[in-house]
Amino acid sequence: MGFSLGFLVGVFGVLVLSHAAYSTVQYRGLLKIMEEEFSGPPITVVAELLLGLVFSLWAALTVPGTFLSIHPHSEENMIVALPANLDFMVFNHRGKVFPVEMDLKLKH
Amino acid sequence: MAGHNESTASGKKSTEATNDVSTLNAESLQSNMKIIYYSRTFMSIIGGVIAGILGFTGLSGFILYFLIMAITSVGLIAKAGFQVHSYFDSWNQVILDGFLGGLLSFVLFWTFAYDIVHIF
Amino acid sequence: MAADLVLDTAIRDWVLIPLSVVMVLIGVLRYFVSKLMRSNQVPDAKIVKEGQLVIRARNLRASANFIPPKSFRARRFYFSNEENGLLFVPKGQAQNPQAQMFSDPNMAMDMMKKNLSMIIPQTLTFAWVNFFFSGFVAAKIPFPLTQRFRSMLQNGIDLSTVDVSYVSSRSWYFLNLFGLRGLFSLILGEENAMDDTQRMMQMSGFGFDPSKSLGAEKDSLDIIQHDWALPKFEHRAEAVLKKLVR
Repeated sequence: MGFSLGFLVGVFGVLVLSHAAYSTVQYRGLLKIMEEEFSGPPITVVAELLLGLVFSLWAALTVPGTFLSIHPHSEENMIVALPANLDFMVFNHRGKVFPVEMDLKLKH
Repeated sequence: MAGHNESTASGKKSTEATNDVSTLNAESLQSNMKIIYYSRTFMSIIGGVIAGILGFTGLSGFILYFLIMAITSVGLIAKAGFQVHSYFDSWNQVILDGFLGGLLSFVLFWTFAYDIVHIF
Repeated sequence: MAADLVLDTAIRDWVLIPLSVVMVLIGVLRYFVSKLMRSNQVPDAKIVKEGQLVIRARNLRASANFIPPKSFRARRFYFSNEENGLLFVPKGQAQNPQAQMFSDPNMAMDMMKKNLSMIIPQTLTFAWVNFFFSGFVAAKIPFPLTQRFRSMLQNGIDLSTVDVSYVSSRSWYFLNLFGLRGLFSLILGEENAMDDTQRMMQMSGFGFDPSKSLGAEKDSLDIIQHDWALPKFEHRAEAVLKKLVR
């Protein structure tokens, strides 16, 4: 996956959120000094929270990967399903005559 | 293109009606469900942090949780290109699945952010 | 609601945040340690065989209508006849998983390792929390709770006048223990999130019983209604093509 664009956006969103938290802490400290009551967070913090929410939403939607079609007739499934298809696995072949090495491997 | 899709979809429906063979790719479905689970967990954590910073208490916090989960659902549907049936069995899997699973994470991070910001 | 307590900011900086960070880091550490200790299990050939068998039978069931009736009957007979059908498990031969566990010391050893990797860090962390941070309020839950939660949330402080929503540091540890699962599943991948609950399941039931799944597969194979689809395929193709042309 690596550091894709969505991932970086998510990190940025989390950073924005933590900055919002920090500035709210500062704001509360200020209120405590001025002896006022806390009525609500300042508007910049709300804006930051919204921004962080949007960024994180984007990250949450892009980072985990893309949806795969579940219809067997779609193009991606045509190719993908082939190696996974057990009908093409062969167990009765002449390799069965040499079971010795298999056993060695299994015992390891 | 859309017309073509529709025709194949309806054709599939008729075949399902006639011979009732389940024609879903289970692995893709599972991976889609996993993606939904990841998105929801992440969004519940983020929602918890936001609720904590805003200083929500009591019922309003839970309302925010449901709001965020609804937004996530809409986002997931948009990600699926509003064609839910080509990626999922039913609408419930997108909208409802994992709705309550993130609640514990939400409450924990809500408490954490609320405590850090507001009670000290 | 009782009057709000005023908590020292030092509690936040030196208890709440470090405790949470340590919980996360210990979770990550535990994941990697258990990954190191996990002996790469050699899959039992018999179990793998049975698993593949079930998948084959399932494939047959799913695409039964695409083969002629005679071939389907032959395959079904191959899977589920009463003498030497592959899915047929004679009674008494289905081995008890409990006995199987005792016959194989590796299995018990593996389970003990898993349990140790879970229990040791938890006891250590708990002792650490208990030693440094016991006996004061560290957090507050932002929603009201009933009195019943007092013993859960205020573990370690015996004051009945404090509001229930205040959380002692020891209980904050417990909350973290249960609530961080979502975060772990994000940063460590799916398997870690399942681990704890699955271990509990395994301890009680110890794995699944392969003979049971074989029997279930056999039953569903027996009751399937075969209806060859090929004669109808021309109609289907005709319908689809007509729709395309239109």
